[in-house]
Amino acid sequence: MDTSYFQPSGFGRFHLDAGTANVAAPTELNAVATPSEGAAAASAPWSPSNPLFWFGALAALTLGLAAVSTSVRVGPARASVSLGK
Amino acid sequence: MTTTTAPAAPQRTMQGLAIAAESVNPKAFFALTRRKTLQEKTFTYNGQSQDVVELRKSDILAGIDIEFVGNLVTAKGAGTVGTTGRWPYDLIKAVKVSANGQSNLINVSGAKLKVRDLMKNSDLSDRGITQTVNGVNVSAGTLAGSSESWGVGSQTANIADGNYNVDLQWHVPISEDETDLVGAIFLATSTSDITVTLEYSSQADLFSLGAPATATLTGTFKVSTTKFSVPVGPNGQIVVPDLSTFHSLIQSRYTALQTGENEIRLVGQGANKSLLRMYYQLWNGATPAPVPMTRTAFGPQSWRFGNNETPEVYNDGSYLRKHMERSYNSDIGAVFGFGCHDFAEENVFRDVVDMGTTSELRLVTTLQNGFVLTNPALEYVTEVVFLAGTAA
Repeated sequence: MDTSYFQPSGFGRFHLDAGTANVAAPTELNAVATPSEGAAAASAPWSPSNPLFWFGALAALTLGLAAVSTSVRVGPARASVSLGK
Repeated sequence: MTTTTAPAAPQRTMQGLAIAAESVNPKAFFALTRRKTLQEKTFTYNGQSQDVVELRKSDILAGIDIEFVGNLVTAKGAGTVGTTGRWPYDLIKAVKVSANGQSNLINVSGAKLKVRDLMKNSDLSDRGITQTVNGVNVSAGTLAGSSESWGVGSQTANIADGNYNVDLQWHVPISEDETDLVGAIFLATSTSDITVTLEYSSQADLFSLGAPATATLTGTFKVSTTKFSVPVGPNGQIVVPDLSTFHSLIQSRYTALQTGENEIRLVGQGANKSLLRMYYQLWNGATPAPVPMTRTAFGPQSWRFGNNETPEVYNDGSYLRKHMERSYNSDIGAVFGFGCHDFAEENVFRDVVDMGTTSELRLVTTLQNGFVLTNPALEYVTEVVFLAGTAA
């Protein structure tokens, strides 16, 4: 039976991380409970919460459309766009 | 001509000592090590106030045993001889252990060591071992071992003249657990240093004498250790287990007690510390004696952190005493009045209190309104495992 989920071995059972033992001047800041980073936190550029993501998406859409010749037909009207010709 | 310098081998700092990183190999260590039980020092006791023992610098230290064998000679003359609640185990008023610059890893009295032994090893039991306490034969909750001899009872008055054999033993847990050696101390270098100081209770603390009575205790202390050899691994390097942690037992005293609820903020809180148990004992009376853990004296018993987070509340002293007896198979609240909030006995991973996330950790003890306080003092012990950084 796997008991590791309620009874891990080593220092894990004391909720201690031996990897932090070499810090010369340990700070309590990294161990006390901290609030979540919140909406203001900078996130990765590929995250939807980052404005750069949407800028990139819009740019890709615009330039993508521009990169190909496109024609749209709405009712009797017909619009045609062509680049490089 | 160019010269090259060999890069230094990666090192890890453990308990204030630098050790080659590749030497940390718990699997190889436990396969190859050898347990050793060694006598470190023997010295006589004639009523002095303290002795200092420097342990031999060898191996990995897991535990220390202290044995006292001696005689108590009482002569009351026209007076009286009695013992206090400090007799017999608080003959050692404090055992203090310092290691590799980490001062006071252990700083507790003898009775606190005895009860910790029963709490940690719940297969130990003091049931059926009869001792005299307060003039009554008691066969549970005395903390005594069958192989020990108190000589005379605790809190016993009118002791007859005699020469009584005294044979006592205490175990000092350097490592939290001698199976996996969490908290064991690396002693096998000349730069390591461990000092054990034994402070003794005064005669007035142990005996109540009506002049011209005398009580003379003499004997021999023997300090032994349990150590584990440091083996050599397959690549020729020594191998050691991960010794990144220290184990500590610290006793504190609080006297500003009143009836009703008392909140005692624990000393020594900090990040990277895990609280395994906190246990306590109330001393009260003109000649202070431990107050048994019953509902007559104690109301709800709990612990608290933050503003008012109170995870566990035991209804009263008797309830806590029953709970402890179920946990330890010893009625430790009956005679010497111990109470304990234990986070390690059942499932340490689930219950342990991370001091980094429980700020303002407090022991909460309620004393019943009708309870008369006379020179009260709460002696409490915190047992902690913590990561040892480079000595600051």
